[in-house]
Amino acid sequence: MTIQFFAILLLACIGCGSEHHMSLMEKIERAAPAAAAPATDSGVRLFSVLSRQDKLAHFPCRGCHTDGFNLSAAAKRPQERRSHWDVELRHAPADVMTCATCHDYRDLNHLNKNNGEAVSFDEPSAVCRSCHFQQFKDWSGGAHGKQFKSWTPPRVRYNCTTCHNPHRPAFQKRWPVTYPSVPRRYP
Amino acid sequence: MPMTLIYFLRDALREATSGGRKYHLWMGALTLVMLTGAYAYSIQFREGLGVTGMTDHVSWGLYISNFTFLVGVAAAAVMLVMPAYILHDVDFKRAVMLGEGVAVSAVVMCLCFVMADMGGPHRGWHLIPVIGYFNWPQSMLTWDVIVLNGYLALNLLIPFYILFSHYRNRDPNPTLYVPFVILSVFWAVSIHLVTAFLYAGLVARPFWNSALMGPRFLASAFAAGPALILLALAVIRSQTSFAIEDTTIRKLSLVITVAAQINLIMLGCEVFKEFYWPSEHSASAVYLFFGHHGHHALNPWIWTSIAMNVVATGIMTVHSARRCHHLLYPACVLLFTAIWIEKGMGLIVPGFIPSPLGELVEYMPTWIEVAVTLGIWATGLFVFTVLVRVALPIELGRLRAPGTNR
Amino acid sequence: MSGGAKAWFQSWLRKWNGPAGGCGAGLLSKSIGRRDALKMLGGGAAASGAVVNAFAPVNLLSGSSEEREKAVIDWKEFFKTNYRLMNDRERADTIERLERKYKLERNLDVKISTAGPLPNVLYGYAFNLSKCKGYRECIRACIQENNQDRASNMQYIRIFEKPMGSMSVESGDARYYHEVPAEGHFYMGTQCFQCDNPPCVRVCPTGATWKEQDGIVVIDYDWCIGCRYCQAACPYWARRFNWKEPTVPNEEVNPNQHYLGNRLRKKGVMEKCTYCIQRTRQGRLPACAEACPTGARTFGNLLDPGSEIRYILAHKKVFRLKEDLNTEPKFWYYMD
Repeated sequence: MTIQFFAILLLACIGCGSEHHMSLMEKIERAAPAAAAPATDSGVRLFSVLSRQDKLAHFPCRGCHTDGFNLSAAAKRPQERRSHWDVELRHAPADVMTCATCHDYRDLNHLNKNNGEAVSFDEPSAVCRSCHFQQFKDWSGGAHGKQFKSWTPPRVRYNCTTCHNPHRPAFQKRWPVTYPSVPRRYP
Repeated sequence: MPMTLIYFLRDALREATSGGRKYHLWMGALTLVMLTGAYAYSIQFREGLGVTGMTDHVSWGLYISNFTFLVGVAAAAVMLVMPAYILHDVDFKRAVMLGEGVAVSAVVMCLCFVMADMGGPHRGWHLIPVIGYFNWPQSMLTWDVIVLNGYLALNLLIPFYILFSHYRNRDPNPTLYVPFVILSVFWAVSIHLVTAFLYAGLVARPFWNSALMGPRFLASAFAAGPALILLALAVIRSQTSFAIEDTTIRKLSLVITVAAQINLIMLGCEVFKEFYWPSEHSASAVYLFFGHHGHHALNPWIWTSIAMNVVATGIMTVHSARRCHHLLYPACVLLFTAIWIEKGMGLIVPGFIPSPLGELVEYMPTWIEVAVTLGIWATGLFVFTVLVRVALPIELGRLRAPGTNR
Repeated sequence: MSGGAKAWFQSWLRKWNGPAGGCGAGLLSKSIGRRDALKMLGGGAAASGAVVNAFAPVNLLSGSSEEREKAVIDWKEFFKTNYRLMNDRERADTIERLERKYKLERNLDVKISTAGPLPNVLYGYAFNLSKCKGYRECIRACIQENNQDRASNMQYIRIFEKPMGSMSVESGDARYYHEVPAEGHFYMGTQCFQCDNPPCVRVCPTGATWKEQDGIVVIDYDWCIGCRYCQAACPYWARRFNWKEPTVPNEEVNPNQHYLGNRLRKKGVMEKCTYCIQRTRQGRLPACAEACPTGARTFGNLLDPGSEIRYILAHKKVFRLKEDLNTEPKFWYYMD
């Protein structure tokens, strides 16, 4: 009887170790209270983004497009579109966006925001947020997008266009990866 | 005294190694099964536990099932100890030595099964307090280590003291052993409760995470254990001159009957809880009794077990049937087998199916597992036979230390 | 021991230590897989005989100097203590022995770290259910990073394909093999959630698994006795057991290892996800988070108010799996 009494007493001690009276979130809050996060529109950004310009095959664009681009003139010469033959715009319906929605026709080395302001290819989020404001908000905080290699400050995030092909932004269907040499076996 | 101890050991060895043709055949057969088990285990030790039917999904199988069942058998010795030593019940006193023999061999089997189930048995020393790291009191497994080894020691020491006293032709001194007997009574209850808590404490497995686990373990143990003891008594009665009164058998069978009835009631409670409102937590029970998503491997096991359980309990409940040995002995066999299935294929294995993430992988033991299991059972029977072989002549007064009065 | 008996004993030992698993292997239906697996090793046998070596210092008396050195290493390794109880000197010694052992046995150059937890760091993970497409890139990265057994295809991560409209664990299928994402389904990844109140740690009889200061639940592979109680205790099916000697081809072994992380395991011990302790304690992302092509995985320091993970906890509606069990996982799910 005594044994069992002590057993129960001990079990009670194990079960209610003082540590677990506080929930994990309480512990986190106590150790590191949430700081007031800068507002999304404040212009303060606590991370840098991967550069994009150096990844572009044809950059600088003005190598060919020396002095801007005239869409209506180009439409009359469809055979000249072959230099960008692989570009198929599957982003939004044609009545919502055209190439000029993002590309700055006056200066093809830049993108443009919907207020006409020119933006570097390294900062595409400034363009994307025109429509995708919710995603931009998530991305600015860290709930959308990808961290680059490290979780420690200084923080570096992937650019919008590192993951999304702007001409076809949705992720495509494909076969899942198999590994190692035994395909189709997931124990 | 030390000289007497040497005589005792010498006489014990002589008794254990001499006997008729039947006895040698029996021990030879057991040795053969043990050797087969040892061979199978050598393969398992070299290749790893991958040679068993266990997987990451069903990570305990036949070994732990048998371990769980045998803890119950060991605990049941208390049913004989309590009346015999404390209440001075003369009938039980004749049987109690055998009960403790059953307990010792059952605990030996338990320890063997745990060793067989370990991935690194050679690292077992990590468990030893002081030189290892004994995670007590957090881990229920450490509790089990304590209670099982303690129980083994108690059940070796008490009968040894009594036998040795008788061997020296003296009456054992009650003030010396009765306190330990009282301790062992509570200890027996605790070994099975602790083993039940081993499972009942796991929130990951709703099938086990139930308060009924402990009581049900006790009830089923107090049915299966005495059933085995009763069968052993029946064999000893027919094969040796050791007189076992009918009243002993009758009392023992009453104990079995009550325990079996309580066990059935508890089974009913569990079935009600799982099936009155089957939730996701009932998936294991659904799988066990009726199959789940086209998987049915355990259905035959559990229904066989339930049928045996009901038939055996039914026979025992009827007074006239219970008194008829031709019905009682088969009923004991049925009950023992039913509870063995219930604790293994009916409790340990379905606890893992489906997995906590809802995946359904079935389990079937391999020949290696079966051979090791049979080998360990043979070891238990071997130990029991040797113990009985030594205890009987002393209790019958045939074997006494040289120089003492007959 | 007479000369003949000794010779017999040695030949018996060699049999146990032999690269093909010794005699009797042919009796097993599963031996084919093992042989193939060993072929993958290019003849360099894993430490299958280490156990017996540890018991039999026969090689100390005879055998080449390399054999003697191996025997000494195995002997010392067998009698070392729990990692938590080691002092710095003992830790350095065991690292030196292990690195040497892999060199001798497999001609492998590995670097095993004992880096401790960083101050003021508590790791947390977030998984965006709207983003995961079921490509399983994370699983491949995890296997490559953490040196999991190739023969049994061991995986720490499971990606469940679930039909829209149900969050029940029973509705998930982790064995899908078709083009993804499948119509009408979403994907939910699981792995070790590094519970703040881990049931696996409480049940371990030898204290071979514990929660580190930075919240990672680790295993001392050399202290685990393989009882698998933790595997039964985990509500998230996050723990794996080495049912056979694990095999990783030499050319695929990741040499950047941690004692409590991805160092090579042996048969009969548990292992699990450690949030890539060998990477994260250097400030890097876990391999799964780095490999994810869709940005469904976010990793960070819960004690850093400016971290991405803290932003998610504060601004998204998150949930954890089986929160009712009071295990306090440090792995949150959320949706866009």
